[in-house]
Amino acid sequence: MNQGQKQLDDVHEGDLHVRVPAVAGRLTGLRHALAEWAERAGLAPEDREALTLASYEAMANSVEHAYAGQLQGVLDLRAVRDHAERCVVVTVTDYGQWKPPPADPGTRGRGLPLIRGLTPDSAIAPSANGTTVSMSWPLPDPD
Amino acid sequence: MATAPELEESIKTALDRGPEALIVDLSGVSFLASAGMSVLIGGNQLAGDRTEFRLVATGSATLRPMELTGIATTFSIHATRDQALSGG
Repeated sequence: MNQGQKQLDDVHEGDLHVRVPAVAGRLTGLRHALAEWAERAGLAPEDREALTLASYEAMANSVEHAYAGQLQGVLDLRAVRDHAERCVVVTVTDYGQWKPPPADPGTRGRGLPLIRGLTPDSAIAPSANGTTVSMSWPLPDPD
Repeated sequence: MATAPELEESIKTALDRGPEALIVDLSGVSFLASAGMSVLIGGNQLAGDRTEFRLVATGSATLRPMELTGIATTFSIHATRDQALSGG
């Protein structure tokens, strides 16, 4: 089995999984893709809006901070439906460094509060190899 | 992040002329993230006592993030441009 097929084993029909350069110019396209995905996944309009904005903020953090001082890095965006748990899960992963929020962020520093405020369940896992932000929203009950 | 620098530039240019009031109409904005909010906060600060800084915002795309981060209370927010112009 080739490497591409092996990696496909982790991507199920209807999931979204993209790896892109962590640059600001990619974010608008990604948020449109996420908004469409969330609609197909059946999320309520309010949760679609929250998912799109919170994911955007997580990706913007990766773009802005993870690879500071380096030439370029990538970010992985995954959006999956968890049928057993009746929820959708979005993860944003980068492979750079985690920059802790400064004590006085000035006019900035609203990304993480926004993620927490928009997401019923979120977790940020910084490690030596990069950072993963996981966020989930409930799926509406089936009719 | 994509258009925030443009907004920042427009606000600065407008404030340079020292107007009595500056109204930023967000009613056509369908997406507002923290980069855009930073620009609005900076504009409000830059306006200082000299210029009244007012926003027009109605939809949840702009009001929700401003309310969630608690910055909505720091702005003068109006439902229409006319209301913002009359300060009511």
